[in-house]
Amino acid sequence: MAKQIILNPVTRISGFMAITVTIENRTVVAAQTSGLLFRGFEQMLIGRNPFDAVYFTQRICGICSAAHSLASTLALENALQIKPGDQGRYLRDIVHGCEFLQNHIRHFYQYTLPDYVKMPADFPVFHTQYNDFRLPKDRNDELVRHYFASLEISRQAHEMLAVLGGKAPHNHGVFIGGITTRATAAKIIKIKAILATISQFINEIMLPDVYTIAEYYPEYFDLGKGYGNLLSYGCFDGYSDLGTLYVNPSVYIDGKIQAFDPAGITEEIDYSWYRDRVQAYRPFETMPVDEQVKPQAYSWVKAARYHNLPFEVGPLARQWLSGDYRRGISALDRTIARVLEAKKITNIITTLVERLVPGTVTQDVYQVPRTAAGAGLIDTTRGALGHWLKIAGGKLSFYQIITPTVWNLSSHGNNGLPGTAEQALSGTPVADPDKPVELGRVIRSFDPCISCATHVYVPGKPVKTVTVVP
Amino acid sequence: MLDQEQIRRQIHNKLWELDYYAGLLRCERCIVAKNALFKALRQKIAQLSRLTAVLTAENATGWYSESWTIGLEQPVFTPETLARYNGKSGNPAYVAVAGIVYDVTDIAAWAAATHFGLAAGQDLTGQFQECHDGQPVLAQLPVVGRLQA
Amino acid sequence: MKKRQQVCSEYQKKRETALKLVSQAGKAIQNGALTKKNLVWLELTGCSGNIISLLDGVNPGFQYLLTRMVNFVYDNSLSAAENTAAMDQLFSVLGTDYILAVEGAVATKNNGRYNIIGSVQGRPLTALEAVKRLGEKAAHVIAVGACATHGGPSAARPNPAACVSVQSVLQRPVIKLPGCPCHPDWFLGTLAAILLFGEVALDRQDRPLLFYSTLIHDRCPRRSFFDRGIFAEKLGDKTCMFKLGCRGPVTRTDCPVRQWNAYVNWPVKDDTPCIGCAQFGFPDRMEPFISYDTTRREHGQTDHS
Repeated sequence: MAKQIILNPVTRISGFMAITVTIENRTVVAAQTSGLLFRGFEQMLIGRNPFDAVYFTQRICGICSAAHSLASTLALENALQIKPGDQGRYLRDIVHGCEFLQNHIRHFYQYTLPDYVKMPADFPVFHTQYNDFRLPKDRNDELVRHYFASLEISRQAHEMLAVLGGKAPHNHGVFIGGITTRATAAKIIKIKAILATISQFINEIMLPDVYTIAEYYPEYFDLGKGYGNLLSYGCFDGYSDLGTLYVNPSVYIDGKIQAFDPAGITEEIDYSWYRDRVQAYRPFETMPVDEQVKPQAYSWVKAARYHNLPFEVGPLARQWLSGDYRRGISALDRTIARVLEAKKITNIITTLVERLVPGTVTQDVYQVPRTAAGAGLIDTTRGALGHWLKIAGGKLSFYQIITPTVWNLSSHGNNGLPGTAEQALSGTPVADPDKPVELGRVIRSFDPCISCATHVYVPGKPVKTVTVVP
Repeated sequence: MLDQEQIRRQIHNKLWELDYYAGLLRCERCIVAKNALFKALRQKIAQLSRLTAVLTAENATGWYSESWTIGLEQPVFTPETLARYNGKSGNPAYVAVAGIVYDVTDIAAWAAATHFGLAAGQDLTGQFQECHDGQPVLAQLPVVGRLQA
Repeated sequence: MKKRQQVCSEYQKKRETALKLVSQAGKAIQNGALTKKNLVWLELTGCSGNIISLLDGVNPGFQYLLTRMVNFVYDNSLSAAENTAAMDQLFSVLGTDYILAVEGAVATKNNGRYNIIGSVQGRPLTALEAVKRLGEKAAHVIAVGACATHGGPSAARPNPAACVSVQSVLQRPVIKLPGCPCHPDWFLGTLAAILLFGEVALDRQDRPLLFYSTLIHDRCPRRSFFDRGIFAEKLGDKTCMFKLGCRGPVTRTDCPVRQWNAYVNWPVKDDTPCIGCAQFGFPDRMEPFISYDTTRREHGQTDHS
């Protein structure tokens, strides 16, 4: 007999989200993920000073703000036809790397760990209705200690970001040409010192911890698979002298790695609350407006597609495409890949810091063109992030943002195919429908960021899904 | 050393230049260009004074100081002419309040010629009264003219 | 041996304002002079960046807040519980002595349905409803960050979700900590002062004087460049960024002294203008953030005398 479970809110993510699943024989047969927050940044950006987009779009997300500063900067550079120098790229990629570390450490310890580790009951914020905690007491206690120890480490990742970026969240450093300030010898030494602490933590604490979880929850190697289509816009790639340090723009489909073609990206809105003259479009073509009353629509999250198919983005996609990790595609593989990526990023930052020439100025006086268009595509902590903008009369006249969560937590496509995370939830066994701890474990492996992917919700209707509109 | 003949020739040239600048000044309507011409004019007078000082074997620094100021009659702005002083493309930033035009180019709270979402080059009487009515802020602003009633 | 001062002693003292209050509160709780209060951290329409900023605090760190200062009852980003259990946890504070911290604006469009933060008895709970229910009964309400204090980026033109400040939906005093995000010391120092003294001195716009009394411009290390009329032409220059659009002259915070992220840097030191993120009216009324097309010095210096 079919039973419906609604999980609202799904906590320990950035933003608000609900999951609705249909269960038959204690197994999920259909799933919908709903983002429950709408902000409408694309509408807000129209008419603003183009340069302001770099600081303005960061306000989309408190945990991954640097990602938006990178994507908007790339889009502006594209529109202004400016090519940053190597030093400029190294500097801002270091800032971006710091954001990866902050994010991954917080996501693993603060967001993921309480799914698998019994947190101390002395603190009300750690009370939970679940009791599927399998670690022996001594190892459980150890991971709880690491939860607290990690607070200092993720904090330091943001401190390292602020050395070049001014402050975090919402940095001031990333800008057209590179970053705003110069790397001095003192700053470089400060970054190296913090990086050494973080690397040590990742290698000696975080990596063993994720394998501890894998040891006690091995069935998650078989759950949360999704479609297995992987996509990356590339990051830490294509340096003129260093080549690619991480991953080139690429996709994985039908067991093969292929080159990525930006022309293949579309968004579809048959199942989301938007109105436009078309139901599917390329990013530059149009930006639909919200329309909450629309037959068949069930979500504020549009459906991002590549050649009409849903794709997974994020650390596992990158680790797979770069060849660093090929064990499998599952909830646990995703979590392990995130930790392995944190280690990889520390190595990349180390390489980039070594190449810095202290005192290099990367800034210039920039002119706003009367008319221009630009795209900024880059892989960020959670996956592929794209900003597309147009300038008319010296002001922003169009802005399109497709965040990683729009890929991972997308709604149904126009062909009715569920989004990647919806698909990943299907087949998940639920031991106790009153306490469906399994759902959160699968969904958090995607590190959803609903702040980035903003949506709306219509109460009273059967819960439908998702949304993603910055 | 220049001989007296050369100096006399230079003085003669300077006088022509002065006359030329005075003519330009008479025709120029833009206050920005007008001020630039005044500056140039003062430089020429200073040079002239130095030359005459050499000629009369006096102290060679001359009697004329460049800081000497020529008073400007305060111009009257129309909304259209005021709009040109919007603080962009190198123009100064002027705003009008209650019929008086003020220069906010170097006023700290008017960074990038904007102030709490308001742009320079306009009559802001209403906005001023909403936020600063009764406050003595206007007294600190340089006056550059009147707004046409 | 005397500990070497890293910075000037006055700056050092100012940076420790929050720490002093927090340690005092921590001690009073430890020796029983004060009892721990409940703290709820409510995230509404925003970027959830203020809780991240709080996690970035060092004086003290988040762990101190959690273990020594308050009973931290609920936060969407951190709560182990989910679904109805999380909601029960959230509303368990009703009837107790609790402090409510709110980040994010209140979406009012379509009766608040642009932001659902959970569900109660199968019915979606709007942020609007949650902040009203919890806000009226709280001992103190602290609005943390630009969205909560005045709508902030969530209410930016054309305000698609019809966002308003926390104050506009509550008929009660709300302490306001503007900033995008709010500095962790501003929140922790305010919280400690409330715990210790039951109140904190506020200005006319309900901002704690402890942190928001002085214009950035008045303590800016580049002030002498402004006074001498030496202006930066591009980001990265080391002089006054007034011409580029610096909002330091209209923004009251202690950023120049306190700085961010373990006091390591701040926007002006990073060679960028202040964008007025802690001023009411941010972002719309603080724009443009960066402008190269601006006035020229020589024109500004015309003779008006």
